Amino acid sequence: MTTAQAITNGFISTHLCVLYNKKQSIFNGGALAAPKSPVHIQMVSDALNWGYTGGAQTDADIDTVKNYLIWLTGIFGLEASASTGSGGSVIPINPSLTPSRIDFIVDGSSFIPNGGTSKVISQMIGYEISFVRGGLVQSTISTEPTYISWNKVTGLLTITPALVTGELISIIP
Amino acid sequence: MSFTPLFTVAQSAATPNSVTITDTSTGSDAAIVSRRIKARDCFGNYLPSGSQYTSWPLATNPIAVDMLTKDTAASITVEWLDSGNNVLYSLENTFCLCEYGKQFYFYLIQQLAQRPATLQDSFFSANLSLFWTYLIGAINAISTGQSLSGSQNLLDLETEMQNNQTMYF
Repeated sequence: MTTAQAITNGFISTHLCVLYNKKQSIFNGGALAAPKSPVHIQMVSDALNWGYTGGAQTDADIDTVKNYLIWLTGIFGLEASASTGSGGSVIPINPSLTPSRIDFIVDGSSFIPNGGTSKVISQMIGYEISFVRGGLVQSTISTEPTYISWNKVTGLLTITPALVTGELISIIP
Repeated sequence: MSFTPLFTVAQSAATPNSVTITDTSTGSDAAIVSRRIKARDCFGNYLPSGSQYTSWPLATNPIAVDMLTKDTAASITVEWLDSGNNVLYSLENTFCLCEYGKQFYFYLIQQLAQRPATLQDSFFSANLSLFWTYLIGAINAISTGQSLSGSQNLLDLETEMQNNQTMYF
């Protein structure tokens, strides 16, 4: 957290602290065991603001007061961070990155050709897949007559037994 | 384009005796040939002491003026003059110049940050609160009340605490 963010959070924490002290609860929970002083939060925020913007204090001295203010604001500082956007962020997954399904009928030049038993499918790395063979979803149980294995880290698909011309195959991420 | 007088004032935190004035006027007037600064405290005393004004050459902007020895509520006027030293334009504003107090207050909070339990000392914490109240009050007296004397009264109270810090902190 930058010093400027700490100052802003300190100023916001002042009124949050007043409101929560007034309600004697925090986040709709139980009573505050040890209410903090909003006046003291404001006093320290002012000191850090004046010391920081003045430019006459050393970085070490600024850090001392900044850390004190962060400790002092505590839960109110966290809530302030959420409202100012200084509390970090999560980058959403782009749904358009999901790969498309692959459907084909086995022949000599199909996606996996006649007699094929393995294929690296790089566009599906990182995903689980359903391998549908002749309308039946294949499992990875190797004691069954037909099965597959799928390594989602390397993208290597192995098929048992080998594909035969004319089979309808669907690979769905 | 018509001339509109404007200026800003900033006090140095590192050297609070020094006040930097920046001419931010817009437009122009060919008749202006010189410029000067008149600064006074709430009693009408000139700042810096002993000189009624500080010449401010047009080629110099901003200008730093050594005018303070303590926190001061000041009225600062900038005058733009013609060749006959007649005042063509004049602008006056009031300022609470309290960097001495602000930096001393930061020092107090820094001491507290190193030993948070000091806040349990009611003598210390009461005087700390008083000091902060004097500073905020002095700033507000100018920014919202335009009261030089009111601001200076509060500044004098916190200055007295600075000068006798062993008694208060």
